[in-house]
Amino acid sequence: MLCYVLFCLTAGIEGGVHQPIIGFNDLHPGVAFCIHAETATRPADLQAELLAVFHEGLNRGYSVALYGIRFGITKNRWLIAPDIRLGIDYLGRELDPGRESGLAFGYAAGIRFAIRRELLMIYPALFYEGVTDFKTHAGFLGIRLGVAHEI
Amino acid sequence: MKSDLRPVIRLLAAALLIAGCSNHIIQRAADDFLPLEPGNWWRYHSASSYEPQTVYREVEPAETLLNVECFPVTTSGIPAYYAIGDAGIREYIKIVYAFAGTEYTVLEGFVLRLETPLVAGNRFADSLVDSISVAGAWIKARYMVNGLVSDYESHDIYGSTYPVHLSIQETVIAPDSTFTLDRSITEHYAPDIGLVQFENQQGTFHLSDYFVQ
Repeated sequence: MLCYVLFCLTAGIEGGVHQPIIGFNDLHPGVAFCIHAETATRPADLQAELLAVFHEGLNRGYSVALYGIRFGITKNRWLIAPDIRLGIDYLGRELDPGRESGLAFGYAAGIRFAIRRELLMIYPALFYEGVTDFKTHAGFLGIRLGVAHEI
Repeated sequence: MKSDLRPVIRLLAAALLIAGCSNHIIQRAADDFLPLEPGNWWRYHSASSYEPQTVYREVEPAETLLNVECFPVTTSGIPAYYAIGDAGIREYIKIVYAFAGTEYTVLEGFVLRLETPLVAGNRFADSLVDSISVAGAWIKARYMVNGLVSDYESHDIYGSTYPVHLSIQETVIAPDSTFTLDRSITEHYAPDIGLVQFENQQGTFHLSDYFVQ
């Protein structure tokens, strides 16, 4: 997978908002940021991403940060492309002075609408982002705007 | 194509394995530890074999006190009023002073009973202070709550539970006397169930039956 990332054909960034829709009833919508790399293969393009999401709680002292590394598939050339990502998330929560953290399995499924201009691609994307520890499942609706460039 | 996907499959398998061994952080972060819905009830039995007791707690339909919507939670018939806020659960407190056959309200209000969400290591404190003049003498009342959320414990049945240690001090100061009541309570909260165990002056009580919507 490292070779795919190093010799990728497309690299980009995404930013957007995450709205909790399953679980996490004590959080405000948060901001998400990720960098990703994709390589064109058949039948689908492979991708890797580093993700960071920050949420503030309804309780002003509470916050949740989620960092993830995910791998997935998409179809870069399509105008409306499905996008599926799976990986490991590190979740930290803090209510000063209390702190907790742990690992979870993260996944995302969504679609993106690619607008191409030569080597540049701009795409709004709509995701369902889920995290689970295999005991409880929680999820967010994510709306992101991405910019990617073919290398 | 098959060989191309092999590293991805290996990585995903490793991800599943590592995540599966996690400490259930999502359960603690996403589940509700205080389900205060009208109709929910819990029954507890004391651990004492000499003087066994049963305590029944039930959430009653919402009422409004001091313009705040709150849920009466009866414990064996005695109500306590809890209001749900962004910072946690606040309890209605009223301290009265009896003088010459009349009861005077010295202090009335809501005080933080439990800061939410529950996070290990969190400390919280809240207090109410007020005073009134009764027959020319100033009567002062103070209600203080100090709480500490201990590290979560893994329970076979309930999952991750949080012990919360509460120290409550109630003081009434009159010109000729001072009355102080100190209480220490430890409560254990479980995801999607609520209070599953508590320890107070009467002993240790364990959840024996419950209904949560």
